[in-house]
Amino acid sequence: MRALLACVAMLIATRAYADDSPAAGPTLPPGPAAPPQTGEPTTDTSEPKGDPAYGEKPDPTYDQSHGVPDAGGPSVGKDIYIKSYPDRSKTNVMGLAIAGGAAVVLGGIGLYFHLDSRAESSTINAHKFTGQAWTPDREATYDDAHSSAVTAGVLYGIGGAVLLGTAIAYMVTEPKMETIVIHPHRSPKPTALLAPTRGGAFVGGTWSF
Amino acid sequence: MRAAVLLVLALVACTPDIVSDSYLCGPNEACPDDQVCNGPDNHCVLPSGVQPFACTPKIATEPDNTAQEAHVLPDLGCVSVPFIDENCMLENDAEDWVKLAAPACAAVQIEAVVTFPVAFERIKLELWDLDHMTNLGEDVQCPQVGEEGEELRCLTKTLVSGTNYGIQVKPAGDGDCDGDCRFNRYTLRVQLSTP
Repeated sequence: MRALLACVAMLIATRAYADDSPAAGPTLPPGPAAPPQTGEPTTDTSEPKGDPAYGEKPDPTYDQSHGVPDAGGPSVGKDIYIKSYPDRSKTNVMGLAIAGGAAVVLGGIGLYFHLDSRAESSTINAHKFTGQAWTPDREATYDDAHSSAVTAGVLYGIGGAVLLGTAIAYMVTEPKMETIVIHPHRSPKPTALLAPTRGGAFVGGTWSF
Repeated sequence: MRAAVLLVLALVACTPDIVSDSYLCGPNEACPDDQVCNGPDNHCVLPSGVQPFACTPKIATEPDNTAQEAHVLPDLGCVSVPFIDENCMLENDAEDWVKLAAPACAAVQIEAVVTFPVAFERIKLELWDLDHMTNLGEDVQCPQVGEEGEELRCLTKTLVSGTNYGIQVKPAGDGDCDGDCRFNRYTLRVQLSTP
C-alpha cells in the first residue's frame, strides 16, 4: 500500500513538471520532442542533452545573438546605446604633435628676433632731441632692428598659421563618434521553479533586481 | 582678427621709434626712415616740416671767390685770440678766401680750423702764399674731436714774416649727396701762435 502511494505521488509530480515546463521561461525552451510520457519513468541511455536551466550546454534552438528566445520565451530588455569617441591614430597624433611643435618653434624663433629687435631699437629710440647725429652705425642698428622686427613678424605669422592649421586639423581629424548598442536580456517576472531530480526535487526561482 | 592685432602690436613694439627732430643729420643728409634733413638746422624732421638749406654769414665777405677778392683778416699779432668767421658755402659758391700778412715776429705759425656739419658737403682748407701764388699745404685730421654731427679740419703752418698768405675755403668734393647737397655752413677759426 505504501509503495503504491509513493508510486502515485511520483507519477503526479512528473506530470505536474511536464505541464509547467513551458512557463519555466528561458530555462526550458522548446527542444526536441520529449519522449512520450507513458506514465512510468524511462531510462535514457543516450548522451544527456544540455539543459539551459543549468547552463551546461547551449541550446541550439536558443538565439544566442540577440538573446531573443522563441515565441513564448522571456521578453527582451530595452536596448542600451553607448556613444563613445575612439582614440586617435598614432599617425594622427604624431602629425598634430609635429605641426604644433613646429608652430611653437617658429614662435620661439620669432620671439628671439622680436627681443633682438627690441634690444637694438632701445639703443636708438628717441622721443626728444638727442643732440646726436644719425651716423652710419645708427643706420646699421636701425636696419638690423627693422630687419629683426620683420623677421619676427614673418615667423609669428607663419607660426600662427601653422598653429591655426594644427587646430583646424585637430578638429577635422577628430574620430567620428561611435554608437554601441547593447541588447540586454531582461529577466522574466519572478518565477518559481520546481524540478525533479534524482532522489527528490529542485526548488528555485528567477527574478531580477 | 585678434591674432592680426596681436601681430601688429608685436611688430610695433619692436620697431625703432624715433620722433621727428630727435637726431642731427648724418653724412649726406642721412636720417632715419621717413625723415629728411632740414636745411636751416640740419635736424632730421618729417618731410612735412622740412625747409630748404639756408645760411646767413655773420660777416658779409662776398665777393671773396678769388685770392684778389679775399676777405682781409684783422691784425692778429704774434700771438692772437682766434678770429672766428661764421660763413656759408652756398651751392653756386666755388670758394671763399681770407688773407693776412704775417707779422714781424721771431717765429710765428698759423693755426686754422674749419668746423662744418657732416650733413652737407665737406669743406677743406688750403694755405697759399699769395705773393707767389703757391699752395703751401692743406688741412689734415684734427687731433681733437668736434661736437656731435660736426667735422673739424685743421691746418697749421709756420709763416715767414712780411709774407702775404691766403686761406682758401672750398668744397672737398664729397659728402654732397651726389650733388643734391652741394652747400654747407662753416666756422673758420684763425689764430697766430708761437711754434
